[in-house]
Amino acid sequence: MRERRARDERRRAREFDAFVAGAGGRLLHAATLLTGERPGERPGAVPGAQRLLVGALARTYAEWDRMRGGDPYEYTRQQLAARFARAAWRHRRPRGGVLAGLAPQERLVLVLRLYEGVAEEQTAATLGLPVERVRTLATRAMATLLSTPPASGPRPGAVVAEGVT
Amino acid sequence: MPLPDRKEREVRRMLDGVQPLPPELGERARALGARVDRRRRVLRRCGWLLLLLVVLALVVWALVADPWSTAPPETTPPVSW
Repeated sequence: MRERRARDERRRAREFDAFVAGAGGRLLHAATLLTGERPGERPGAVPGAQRLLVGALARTYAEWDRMRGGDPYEYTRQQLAARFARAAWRHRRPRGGVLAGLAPQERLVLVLRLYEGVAEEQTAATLGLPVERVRTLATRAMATLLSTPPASGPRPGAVVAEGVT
Repeated sequence: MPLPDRKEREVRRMLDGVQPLPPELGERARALGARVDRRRRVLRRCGWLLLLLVVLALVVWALVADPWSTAPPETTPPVSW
């Protein structure tokens, strides 16, 4: 019994590690967009986003065996959104990221809709908002983003490549 | 191309990217997740134990008190006006 549990534990850890290795970078970028922190090459550059992601991933790990058939990526994304929404007031201060000029809820909608490519209806369901509200938030966020390009810092698209030698 | 689509594409480009992952992040998540899982398991076990105890107590009480076997042996005393 105990041996079987240890074996299950090892298998779960292996599967989970493979999942994190594959999807972690993308999820961390999403979390970074949410917290509004400035992305960086140095690991540990985005402590808020890391904290958010570790919390979300921990739930994914705890649910791993009950998730058979479910998509761990989608589950983690939902956890991320829910955790961010719960603690959004903590992320109101601008921190120099691409979306730092937006309200937390606008960031959330934009990240889910455009970065993650989640459909409008599903975004609305995830956030518990009416579809029209999601549409309005996205439109407003896009307008704000396009009218005020980040004044300082590298071009957002080039951030990841920066510093690679 | 319609305007909203172009805007969407531009914003998408601004958002795009992947953040380098600190090597120990997965491990941290795993440790935290294992703790959550363990806590849940303990909680569930406690729940079952409590249920078992309640059932046991009920059985013991039923055996001792025998609440359904005998009807009250005496009738009520006649009412005298």
